Amino acid sequence: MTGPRARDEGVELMLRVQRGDMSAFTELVDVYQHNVVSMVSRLVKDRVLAEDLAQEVFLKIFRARERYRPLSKFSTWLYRITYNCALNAIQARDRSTVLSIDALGEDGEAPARLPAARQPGPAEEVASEELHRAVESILDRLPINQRMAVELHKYHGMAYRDIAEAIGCTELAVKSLLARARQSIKQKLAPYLREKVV
Amino acid sequence: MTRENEDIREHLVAFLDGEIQDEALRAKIERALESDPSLAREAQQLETSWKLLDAASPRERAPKDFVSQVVGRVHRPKPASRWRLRWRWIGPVAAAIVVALAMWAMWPDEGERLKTRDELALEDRNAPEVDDLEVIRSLHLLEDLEWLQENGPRIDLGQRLEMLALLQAQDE
Repeated sequence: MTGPRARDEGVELMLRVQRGDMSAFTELVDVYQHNVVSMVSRLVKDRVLAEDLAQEVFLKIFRARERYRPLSKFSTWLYRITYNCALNAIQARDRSTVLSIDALGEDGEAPARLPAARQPGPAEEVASEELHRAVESILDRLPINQRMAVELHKYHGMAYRDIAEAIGCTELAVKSLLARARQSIKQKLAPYLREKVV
Repeated sequence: MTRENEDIREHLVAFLDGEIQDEALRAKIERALESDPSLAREAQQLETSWKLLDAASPRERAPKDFVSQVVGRVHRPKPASRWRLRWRWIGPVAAAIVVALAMWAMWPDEGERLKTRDELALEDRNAPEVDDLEVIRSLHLLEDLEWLQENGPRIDLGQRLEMLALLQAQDE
């Protein structure tokens, strides 16, 4: 192992866990707990479920310690497990949720509950709470893979290559996912953009 | 926007993210942004909307006892999986099926089935009467025993044992 990967704190901790060092596992959970809880919370939108899934992520890591090979950044591996856990939970939840036909929009998706944008006015007067709800609503409505790509890129500063590894697709696919996600976000935030630009 | 710049649009987000490695393509996009106001406006809107995502909810944090909970769970035995819980009935049912099949295989056919007491009594009435041990003793044992077997006399177990003892005594 050479280069920056050798200084990857997660990799070093994980290799110690592999050698049976329980204090390294405790440290590993301590370092990454907030990232994992935050990411799962954004994906599943359920605080209690998110905490349970986050615990499950770390347990999976512990159980996989003997098979672990430091082939990529530790965070990439961790987020891949996190994404898969969240995805499974969402799919299980979706299977058990019966959507009312009336609740579907013309495109078959649940209608956006975007708060009405204020009438044109100074951008600084736009209530932050209103914008906050609009942004949350837009992110919620993104398909799960776009939401994960946005999460990893926007809030974790990950490069396309690492995102591709984390969600199990090609770099080209990530480029396409983020392009579509950002176009969608731009369109849905258009009322706020006008206010901001004016 | 020119047709060429329409093609550039698909690379715009990657360009804004600093993910275009091809220098020639990067230079081409930069030139297009300088020369095409609509493309430049689009780039600006993409940037601004991206920044507005900062208004999303503050990042959730793990509860204070999260680490101890996880480490505690590591030392607990893994609970039975949902799959195991769902199929836990399969073992007893499989065992019951095996037992039932074994019993069926061992069950006598119609021709071999155990005879009832009445059927045995009927056979006894039709068979020669050889109840008296004195009669048996008076016979030439080996030949007569064969005769008895062929002609199906009905004698009970005690009588058979006595006959065998008699045969052994004669052999000695």
